[in-house]
Amino acid sequence: MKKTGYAQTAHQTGRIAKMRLRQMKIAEATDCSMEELEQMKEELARTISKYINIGNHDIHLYLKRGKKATILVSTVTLPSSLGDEAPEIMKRSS
Amino acid sequence: MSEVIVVTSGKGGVGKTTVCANIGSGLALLGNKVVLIDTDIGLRNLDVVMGLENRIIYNLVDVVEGSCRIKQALIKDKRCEGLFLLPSAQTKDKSAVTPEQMKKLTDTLRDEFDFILLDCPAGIEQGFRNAIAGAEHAVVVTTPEVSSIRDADRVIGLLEAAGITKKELLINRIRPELVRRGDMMSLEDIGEILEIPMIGAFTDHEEIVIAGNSGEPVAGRDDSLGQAFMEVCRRLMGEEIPVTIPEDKKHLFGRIRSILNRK
Repeated sequence: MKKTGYAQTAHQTGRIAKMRLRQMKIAEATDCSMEELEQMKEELARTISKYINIGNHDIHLYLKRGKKATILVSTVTLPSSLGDEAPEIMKRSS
Repeated sequence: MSEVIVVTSGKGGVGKTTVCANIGSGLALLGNKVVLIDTDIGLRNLDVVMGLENRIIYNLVDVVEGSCRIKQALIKDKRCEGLFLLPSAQTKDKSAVTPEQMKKLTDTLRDEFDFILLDCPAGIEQGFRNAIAGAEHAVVVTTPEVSSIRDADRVIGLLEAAGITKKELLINRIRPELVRRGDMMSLEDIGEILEIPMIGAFTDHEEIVIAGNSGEPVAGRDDSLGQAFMEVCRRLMGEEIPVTIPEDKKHLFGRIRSILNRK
C-alpha cells in the first residue's frame, strides 16, 4: 500500500485526548472519581438491562452546560438501533 | 458603546499576551480607540510584545494607588492611531491591586475608549480575579493540548460563575498535519468539549516569533496571519465571518515539498 504520510496512527491520539477530556470534565463537575463514574454506568446498565437488553458499553455519560445549570446526561444506545449489529436475542424478540 | 474584554486562558504560555497585543492593534486599525491593560503584576510582558518597554514611566499600580493620573501612565503607540497601553508594575505582586480597584479603573476608562482589553495572568488566583472584575466579555485562549483545554474549561466555569456570559474561544498553535492524521484534536473537537463559540484559530506560526523579537504586532499585515487577526477583530465588532485557519506559508511549502519527495 502506498504511504501517504497522513495515514492513521495506531491509536489516533486525538480521539484519546478528546475522550480523556470528556471523562475529566464529568469527574470534575460531579466530584466523582473515574472509578465511581464507571460504577455508576455499571449500575445504570444493570438496572436498565432488567427491561432492555443492553450492556455496559451501551451507557454513555456526558455533560450539558445550560445557562443556569450543568446537567449530567446519560444515554442508552438501543441494540435495535444498530441494525445488523444488534445482538441476536434482540432480533429474535422483535 | 465601550466594551471591556479580558483575554484569559488558565494555563500559561498559550499566547494570551500575543493575542491581546494583536487584537488591540487590529481594533485600533479598524478605527477604534483602544487601551490594552497588562494585569500581570510582577511579570509584565505586554509592553515587550508591543515594543513599548522603553517608554514606561508610570504603571497600573501607580494609577490605582493614586500616585499618578491615568493619562500620565498611558503610553500612546505612535505606529497605530488610537492605541494605548497601560503597563503593569514589575516590582510589586498581585495583591497590590484589588478587583474593586480594577473595576473602578475600567469603568473610568469606558468614557474615553471603545475597547478596553485586559491581558490576564496565568492561573486562577488574585491576578485572574483582578483581571476579570471589570470585564463583560472574555476571549479564552487555548492550544489543542489536553492540559490547556482542561484549564480553559475550568476558566470558562469561573467566568460563568463571575457573571461573564459573553465568552469566546480562540484556538492557538494548531498543527494541521497532526489534525489530519488524527493525532491532534480538531477545531470541532475542541469546540465540542468547551461549548463556547469560536472567534479565531491560528496555526503554530513562525511569523509570530519573528515579529515578537522586534516588538511588532502582526495584525493588519498583508499576509494570511495579519488578515486572520483582523478577522478576529471584525468578529469582536459583531461581523459574522466564518472561522478558518490561516496556513503558515513555510509549513505549506514544506508539506508540498514532502509530498513531492515521496513520489
